[in-house]
Amino acid sequence: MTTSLSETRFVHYYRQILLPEVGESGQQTLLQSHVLIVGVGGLGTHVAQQLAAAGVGHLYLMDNDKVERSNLPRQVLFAAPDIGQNKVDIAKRQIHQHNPDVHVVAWPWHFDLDSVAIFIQQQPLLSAALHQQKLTVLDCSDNLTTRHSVNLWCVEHKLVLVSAAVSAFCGQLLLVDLQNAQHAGCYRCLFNEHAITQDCQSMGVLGPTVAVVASMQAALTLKHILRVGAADDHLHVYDGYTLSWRKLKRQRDRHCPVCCTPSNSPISHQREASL
Amino acid sequence: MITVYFNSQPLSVPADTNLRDILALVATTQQSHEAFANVAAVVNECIVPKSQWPHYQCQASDNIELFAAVAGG
Ligand SMILES: [Zn+2]
Repeated sequence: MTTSLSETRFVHYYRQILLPEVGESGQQTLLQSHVLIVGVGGLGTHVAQQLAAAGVGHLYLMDNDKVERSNLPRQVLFAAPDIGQNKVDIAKRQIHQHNPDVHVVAWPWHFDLDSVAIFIQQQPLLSAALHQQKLTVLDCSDNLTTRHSVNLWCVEHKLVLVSAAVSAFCGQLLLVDLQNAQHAGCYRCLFNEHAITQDCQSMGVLGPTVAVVASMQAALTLKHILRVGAADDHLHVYDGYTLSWRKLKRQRDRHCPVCCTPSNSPISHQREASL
Repeated sequence: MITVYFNSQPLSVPADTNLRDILALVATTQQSHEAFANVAAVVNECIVPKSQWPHYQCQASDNIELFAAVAGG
């Protein structure tokens, strides 16, 4: 099915290919995989850079922000001359420069259900990956409204979502995979839409804290694409004061208005009205 | 009465207390009830979905914690 890697690529990705969990076929899988990154800020720039370096073949970047000076301490793909330009355009240029193997599509729009539908419509490769459920979605956005709409969209299209967030000294990470880890539920099972939250604009954040959380998000994404181990069913919580991670077991909320609707629920029993 | 731990602090509660009762109890003293209505509750490292709070019967030595959503990117 898959052709073997060219010699140049074999050498390029040699240290990954050495891992029995990757091998030549795993590297092919990465080169043929599609990842949509929602939000190209602190988390998004790091994650895009790491996935591109690993040879994830197709990256779709969605963000309507422009580079600002205050982004530079943690948004590693941007430099002072880029201030005022679209983040996705700069990110695309930088990634392509680093690894021309990667096909990057920059979409300078904010994610919502309408804009992503237009994006899909205009990108045949993305559309095909979506309909074959071969698209992995990474939430790197900076607000709860977007997070809930990314989650809703992923559940509707049966896509795997790797959601990460960071603020001040705290990070959170989870994988939503309703095919392989249905018992863990979705993002909405965990937090409702009116949760009190802090974002990095009001809270401040250190670059390395963002990088740690982003690296875990990239690792979880590669693990998912390569099918290394079982589908993750935890909420990973990072504490930047103690430099430690905790794993909290997730559980699907059977009253979840997103993943426990009749079309998503495997259980046909009568449900009570959702809370 | 049983002793449970809320954010590592011991809390003495009647034996038939459920998770929602605990959160209502601590909400009056520590934070507004509003804030607690919108967090993930964790008991002994496992998340208890909000719809299950009234059905989760607290056990002695339960370690209860709250996690607010982080949204920054
Ligand atoms: Zn759900």
